[in-house]
Amino acid sequence: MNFSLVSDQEGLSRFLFHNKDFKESSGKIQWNRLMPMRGKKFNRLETSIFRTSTLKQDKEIWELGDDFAGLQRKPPKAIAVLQAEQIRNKQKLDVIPETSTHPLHAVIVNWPEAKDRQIEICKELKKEAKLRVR
Amino acid sequence: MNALKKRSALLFESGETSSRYSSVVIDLEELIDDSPVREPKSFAAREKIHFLLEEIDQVFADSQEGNADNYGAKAGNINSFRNIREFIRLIPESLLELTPTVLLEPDGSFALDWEHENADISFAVSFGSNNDELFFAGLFSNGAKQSGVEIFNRFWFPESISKNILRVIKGR
Repeated sequence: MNFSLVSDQEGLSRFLFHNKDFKESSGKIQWNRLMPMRGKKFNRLETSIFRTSTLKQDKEIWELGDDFAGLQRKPPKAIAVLQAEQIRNKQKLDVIPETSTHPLHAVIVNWPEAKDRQIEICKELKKEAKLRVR
Repeated sequence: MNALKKRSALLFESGETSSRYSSVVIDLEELIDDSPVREPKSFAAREKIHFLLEEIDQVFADSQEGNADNYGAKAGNINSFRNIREFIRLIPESLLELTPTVLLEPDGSFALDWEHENADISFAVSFGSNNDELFFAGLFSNGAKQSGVEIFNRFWFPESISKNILRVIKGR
């Protein structure tokens, strides 16, 4: 794995902490949980995500979420899994490493400023994301 | 509004209340008009509207400490909260066939999401935090997409929004 570059084939996981963040019956996440926030360091819109392709066992993924995902230590309830290529296919979005909190941490960047476009992208990503419930 | 009052009472009882939260509750009691919905509607429609308003109040109350998503989401925004409540009360009865889900975005904006039983067909409206803008986006059948911005004037239901909700209801 190249730590300085996220390859198109890499699997990326967005940790979800509440039952209402996803619908187990339909296997879909809620689009609002992919919406970006403005990061303080670079003043850009970002969505936090983890590079989990190298983690072969589910236990490793959930432990990563337990210890490093989110602002407060909480056990994640589920993950939304996307390939980097699926994200890069949406307008100008990109995935880049952001390792200040963990070597496997990355962020989705290059979000459009227009809110309606952000929602449209999140809905498209929701369609493609694979839900895995803990 | 009941959810807010219950939440407020619980916080007072537990001694967790902060002056920030108390002032929010007081402000909202002044802001929220609890009078009946604007146009005559059937009992079933009024029940749905009541359910949605209760859900919005609950989401708002639960968000007040911030970080509802554990990624640092802001507390529910008061302007967005007020507009989503007004919007719900204006929904034509024909559009209540499908009950939307209430969502809170990381910037504190409220949104409503309509999803067809085929989950790939859906439409969402987000209620701006700073003004009366409605941001909408939908994915429809055969890869059709639509997104845009409307201004919410609080007197009538935007036609562009109702057309898109109907597309979801009909699965088109």
